[in-house]
Amino acid sequence: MAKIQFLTMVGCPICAKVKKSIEELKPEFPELKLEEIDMTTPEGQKLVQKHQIMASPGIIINGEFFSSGDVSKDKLREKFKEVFVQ
Amino acid sequence: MSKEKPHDVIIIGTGPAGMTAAVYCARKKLETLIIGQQLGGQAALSGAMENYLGFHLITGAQLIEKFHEHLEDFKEVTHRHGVEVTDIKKHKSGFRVTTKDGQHHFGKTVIVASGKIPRKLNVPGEDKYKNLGVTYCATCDAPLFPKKDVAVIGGGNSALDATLQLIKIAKKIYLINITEALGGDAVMREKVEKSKKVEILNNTKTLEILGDKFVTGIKVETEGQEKTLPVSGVFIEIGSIPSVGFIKDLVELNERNEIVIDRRNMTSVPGIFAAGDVTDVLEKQVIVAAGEGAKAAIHASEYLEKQK
Repeated sequence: MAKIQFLTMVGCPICAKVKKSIEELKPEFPELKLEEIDMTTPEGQKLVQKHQIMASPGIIINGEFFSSGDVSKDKLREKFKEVFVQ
Repeated sequence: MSKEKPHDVIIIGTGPAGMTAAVYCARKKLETLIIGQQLGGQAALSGAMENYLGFHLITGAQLIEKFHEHLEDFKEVTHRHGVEVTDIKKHKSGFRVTTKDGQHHFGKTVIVASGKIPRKLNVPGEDKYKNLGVTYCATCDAPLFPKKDVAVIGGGNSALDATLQLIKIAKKIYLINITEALGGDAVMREKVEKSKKVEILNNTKTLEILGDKFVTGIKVETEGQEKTLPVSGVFIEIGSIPSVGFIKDLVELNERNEIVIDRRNMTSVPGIFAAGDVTDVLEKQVIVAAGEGAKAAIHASEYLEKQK
C-alpha cells in the first residue's frame, strides 16, 4: 500500500485546493489514504527540511518527494495511476 | 460529448462575491453551477480582518470556511472546484462556458466573479524559481522560511501583511519598495517600521531573482546602484490584476482591464453579470464583494423572469 504524506498549513488556500482534488480522486483510487501533517509541527518541519519543500502543500509518496505548491488534478491522477498500479 | 441541460446561472469564481451570489441564486430556486479555481479567491490569502461585520477578528481563511459551510447548506447548487474557465461564448441557450479540461457548460445567464490574480514582477528568475523560493502567498509559505533571510517585494497592504507574518518566523526581511515611501494602512506600516528584523529599501527596483536549485538571492537597484541581497525566499506582493482572460473579447473592460458593469451588475452583454474585484467597482473589499455578489444574483434572477 502506498504511503502518501500531505504536508499542509492551517489557512493555506492552495493546500485546501490540492486536498480537494485528492479527495475527488478517491473514488478512482479506493486504496488512497492520506497522512496529513501540519508543516509547523516538529514532524512537519523535519520533513520540510529533509525534502527541501519550499511551497505549500508538500506531497511525499512512499518517502519520496513528489510535489510542492499547486499541482493539477491531472498530474495527481497520473502519479496515482503509477503508484496504485493493479 | 454528452450535453447537459442549460443551468439558469453559471457563476464563475468561488470568492466572497461568487459564493454570496450562489446562496442568493439557491434561495431563488435557480438551477446554479459555481465554478472556481481556488476556494475563497484572494480573500482566503488575507491575514487578520477586523472589518467584516459580525466578526471582531477573523482570518480570511476562517471567513471563507464559514462562507463555504453556509453555501454547502444549499445542496441544489452544483460545484466544480479547482477548475479554470478558459472561454465564454454566446450560444442559443444563452452562453457556453468552457473549462480547461475541455468540458462545456451551458447557462441562460452568467455571473463573473473571478476576482483578481497576483501581478507578476516579470523579472528573470521569477518563473524558474516559482515554488523553489518564489511565492505569492505569505499565508501558505511564510512558515517554510524559519530563521532565514527573505525579501518581500511591494509597498502596499499585501506587502505589509506578508512582512508582518514573516517577522514572527524569518531572521531578516528586506522590504523592497519601488516608490519613495511605503503605502498601506498606517497601523500595519508602523508595526513594520518598528521591527528590528525589517530593512526597508525604498526607491528600489528588483532586477533579477538568482538561484541554483533554489533561490539564493535577488539583484536590486537603488537610485542607479546595483546590489545583490542573499535571500532564500522572495515574497512577491505587488498587487493584482483582474482575472478576465476568458472573457476579455466578449464584454467591455475599462482602462484597468476591469469589467464595466451598470447599477444592476449587468455587463455590456445582456445576460452576463459581474461582481466583486473583477469589476470596475472602486471599493476592493471583502464585504463589498459579498454585497455585489448578492446584487448580481438578484438582477440575474430578474433578467431570467423577464426572458420567460
